[in-house]
This record gives sequence, C-alpha cells and structure tokens, in this order.
Amino acid sequence: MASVKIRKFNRSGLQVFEDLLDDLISNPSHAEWNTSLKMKIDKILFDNEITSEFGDYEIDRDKEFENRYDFGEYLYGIFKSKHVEKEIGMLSWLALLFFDQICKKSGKNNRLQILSKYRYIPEIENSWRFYRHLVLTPILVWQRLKEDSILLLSNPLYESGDAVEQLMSRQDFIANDKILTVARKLYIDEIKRKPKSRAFSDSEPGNAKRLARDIVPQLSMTYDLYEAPVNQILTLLPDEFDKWKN
Amino acid sequence: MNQRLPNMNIGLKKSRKATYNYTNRGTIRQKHCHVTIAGYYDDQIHIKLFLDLDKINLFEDQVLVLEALYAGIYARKEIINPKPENDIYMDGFPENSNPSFRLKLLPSITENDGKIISATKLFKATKSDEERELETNFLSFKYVNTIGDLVWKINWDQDDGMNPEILINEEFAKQYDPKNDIRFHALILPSIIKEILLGIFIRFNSIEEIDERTQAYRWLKFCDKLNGWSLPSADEWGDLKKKIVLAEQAVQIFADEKWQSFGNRTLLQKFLAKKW
Repeated sequence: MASVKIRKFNRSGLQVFEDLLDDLISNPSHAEWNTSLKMKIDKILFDNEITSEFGDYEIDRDKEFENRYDFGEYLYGIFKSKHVEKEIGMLSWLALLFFDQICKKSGKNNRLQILSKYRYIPEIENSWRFYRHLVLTPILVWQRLKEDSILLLSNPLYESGDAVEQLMSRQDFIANDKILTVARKLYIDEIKRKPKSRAFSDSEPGNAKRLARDIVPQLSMTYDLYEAPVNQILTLLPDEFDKWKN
Repeated sequence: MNQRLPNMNIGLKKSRKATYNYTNRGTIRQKHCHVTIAGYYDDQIHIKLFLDLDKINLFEDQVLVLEALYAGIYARKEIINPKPENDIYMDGFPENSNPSFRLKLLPSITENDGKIISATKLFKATKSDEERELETNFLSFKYVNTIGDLVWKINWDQDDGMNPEILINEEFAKQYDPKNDIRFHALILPSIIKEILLGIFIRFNSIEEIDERTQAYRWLKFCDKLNGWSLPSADEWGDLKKKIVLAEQAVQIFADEKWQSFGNRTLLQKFLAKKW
C-alpha cells in the first residue's frame, strides 16, 4: 500500500495536465504505459509549483479496482458526503493518479486509449458533460445510491456506459431519491446484487432508460414525484413495468 | 376535499382562468417569475425569487414550492406568504453552483394523490447583462457583398461546419447597424438562431463530434443555458424530428427572454415600444 495525501492542481497544473492529454492524443506512441510515462506523471502529480494538498485526505495510489462501483465505494469512503463537484483541481489530480486504470489499455505495449478531455478534467458548468468525468461520477452515484450504486456502476473504470450517461443526464432522475428507490426495486437483482439482465436494453419493454427518459418526465408533469410515496409511484407506472416488479 | 377558501391576504387570488398543458396541469409562465443568486455561504445558497403575484393563480389552500437541482443535488423550499421579492436559503449547494429551478403550485392538503396544480419548466437564474455579454460574444457578424440581395446568410464552409459564420449584406449594414439595431434583433435574429441550430443538428450526429473551441460548440452552450431548454440527449441526436422541435423551442425561449438593458422587456416588446 502506498498511501499519499490527496492533492489538487492549480490553474497551471490543469494546463500541464491538458498539455499532457494533447500530447498523448496527438502522439499515440507516447501513450504507452511504461516507466517513462509513469515517471512523467509522477513528476506532474507531486510538483509543488502546480499542485498543493487538498485537505487532509489520504489515498492508496496502488489500489486496483474491479469496476466503477469499487472505485466509487473507495472514494466515497474517503470523502463521505462532502461536496466535491466543484473541485476541478482535485478531481483532475485524482484522474491523473489513477490514469492507467481509467484509461483502457490496448495492444502488447499497453497503449492507453485517451478519450475527450472532459473525461479527465471535469466541465462542471456544462450540464451535458459534468457527469461524464471518470472520477466524479462514481463518487456522485455512491453519494446518492450507496451500495445500490451497482445499478449504474458495474462497468470497468474506463467505461462510462451509454445507458448510465443517459440516466445521469436526466436531472429529475438522478436527483430524486424516490425515483432512485423505484429504479432499485425494479432493476436490481437483490440476490445477485447486480442489475437484472436486460435492465438497460432498449428493446426490453419497461427498461431503465425508458423509465428515466420517457416515464419520469411524463409523470413529473402531473405528480410531485419528489414527495410521492414510492409505492404510489410504482402503481403509476404503465403495465410494461409490471414484469420488473417481481 | 380541497376546498377553496375565501381570499384574505393581498396577493392571493380568489379565481383566475388558468392555462393548462395536455396533462390538465396548469402552467406557471416563465415570464411571471425569475430567480437571481444573491450569494453563497459555505454550502448554502441565497436566492432571490421574484414573483408576479397578479399573474400566478395562488389560492389560500395552495402552497408555492421552489425546487433547485444541481449535479444530482435536490432541495425545495415552501414559499410562506409569497411576496413580489422573496429571500430563500437552500442548503447543500456548493459555492458558485448554478442550479436549475422550478416553481410548483401544490395543494396544501395532500388529498389529491400528489398531483401538481401548476408549475414552470426548469429554468436558470437570471443573469446580469455583463454575464450575458460574455456568453453571447460568439454572436459576431461578417459584412459581405457576396450574397446578392439576401439580408443575411449562414456560411457553413468553415472547418466542416464547425464554425458557422453569420454573413450580413454590406449594403444592409450601412443603413442598419445589426449589432445595435433592435429591428434586426427582434425580426431577424430568431431566424438566424433557428437556422444555425438546425444546421448543427443536421451536420453532426452527436455532441461528441463538436470541438469545444468552435462556434458550433459555443452556440450549443449558449442555447443550453436558455431557461427551460436543454440539448438533445445522446439518443435524441438520432431523432431529426425531435431536434427540429428542440430548435423551435430554443427560438421561442430566446424570443420570450427579458433583457435587463431593455428595461426587463423582450426584444419584441422593445421593438414595439419604439415608434418608427
């Protein structure tokens, strides 16, 4: 275990990180996960000119995670319910700390596949991008759903998942505890503790995406879903959701 | 039963014809309320809610509730004794967060199955003209003599459509100042916005295709901040009909927007107020 203090980038640090991403995108050979890249990243992570300690939080930088659920659980254990949404410098620093895990590796040289920059440096004020950050979203989902986060976080760390992003993009879905409870009741297999088969499949009647995308907005037009009892919401759902209730 | 009680307070209406949407729920029109953010204190946000109480159908057995949503955070406050200007404090919102708001009118007695009486769509806090200026500085014109007798045209030839240019007829611009003439803003700008939005929607299959350093991205960002409007979701990008509807909605919202520098009037109201 290699425990380090969590740090945050200042403005210059964010620029250095952005420059690194630019370099890795335009020169894929630089993105091979090797000692040289590790050393380069380490130098950036602990450069006192561009980073500083973020509170008094410690983190195990060598910890490996099976999926986003594990990652979110670990980070939730550190931050608990602290609001970290606006901490762009810290979230970006964490993204770089776990860079080799949040980037998919390919080929015999373990080349990192670099996605759009907002996956690593959050765009908080951008309502259609903030939830696509690979570190922030597992924390936010864990803060909302705790152990039931498995509904949205069963993917590998580098894979946000189209279904998850569609659900996260619906404000009245992710912010509403009652609706999240409904989703848990419908789509989590309580015995296996994972999403039911085909819960996110577009072709499946009453799937989770349909709940978030179509049904919640429709019901929200008529009902105060933030105050309605969960059982009432369940009875308001169309017949296509019946099979998920069992 | 949810009995109507006699009106005893100033500002509370006894009866008024409401407008209803297709669900038979009433609508609170956006122009009858707005919010400004007065400040942040630790995790608390201070909001000022302005209400046009003559226009909001508020009965004594009903309560007004303001909801705020931001990055998965939700808070609501009941507006006790609503006034034209209301100070509201909500917990759980980090400094500089920019929540979406929604005003709901609910029965004070919860005997109607939790049904909403009327509500606004989600909307953002009103911004100062300086903030708007920063957001709209992408609205630049290029004066040309190459578009015949057209007043304006959008040029999509730059960077595979990523940087649409608004071309303005040079002769027109000599007589009317497109940047400052309210006639241009009220009569032509909405059509320009619609053509640009539709042009972006047709040319790109997803938001991911649009570089954030381009005009197309800035246009989407500007429209995304219009009250009650949001970009098509990932699956909606493939639905042209839906995108056409969204473009029309964006133009409607833009036209209904009130501007501080125009005395809190819309572009059309400002235009009509002047005798030509």
